Amino acid sequence: MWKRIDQFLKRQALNIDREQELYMNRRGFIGASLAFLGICFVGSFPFVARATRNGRHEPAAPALRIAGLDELGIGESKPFLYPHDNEPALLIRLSEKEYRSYHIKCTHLGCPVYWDQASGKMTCPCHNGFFNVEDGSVLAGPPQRPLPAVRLDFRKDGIYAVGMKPIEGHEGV
Amino acid sequence: MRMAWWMFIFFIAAQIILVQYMTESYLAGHHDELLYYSMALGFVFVVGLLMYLYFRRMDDTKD
Repeated sequence: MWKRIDQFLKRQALNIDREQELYMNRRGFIGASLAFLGICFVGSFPFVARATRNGRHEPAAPALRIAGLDELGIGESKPFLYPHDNEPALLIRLSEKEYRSYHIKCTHLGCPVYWDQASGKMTCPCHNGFFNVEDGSVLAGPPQRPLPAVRLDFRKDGIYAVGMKPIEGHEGV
Repeated sequence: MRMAWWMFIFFIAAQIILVQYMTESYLAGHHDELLYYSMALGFVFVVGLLMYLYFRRMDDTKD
């Protein structure tokens, strides 16, 4: 009885079966590595295909009324959400007839960018990133990409956001 | 084959770094860069395949 229990425990503890072990030599390792390289390459296809499809069939964003025609004074700004609720944007009135609108999620690490009227720049307070209010391009700081610009349409009853302007090398998140 | 072993360690490291960069680009929405990362992955794979064939042949010749 005790002997059988002892044998059972030995079988459980010393369960290394040399005949069942995977024999891996250098050539086997290199073959497996090659398979890994191939799997990484083939595994990237769906991502490329999906990204290409997303770029081609980007749905047009609906028009959204942001403000009345004379609601903002010169130099003032108004925040809004466009085209989705998680994408904050800002409408800025630069002069009598000049308006600009950008997404205010900083292209560096996503901090909210604000319109600094005194300096005339879009400013990210987190890491001192500065953007040009004329075209959203980077003036200084760690951001590498310009702010995505919102396309505006001026109608009788107010100013509408009607889509996003395409930026070279950036298709938006 | 010992030399090939080291070369493949290097290839695996390069491939893992490329996959990591590609994932970051995908999650950040920079979809225009993904094709180039995929091509780089393919390039490493093809070079690895050629190297594998070369060392196999060299091994057979030695034997």
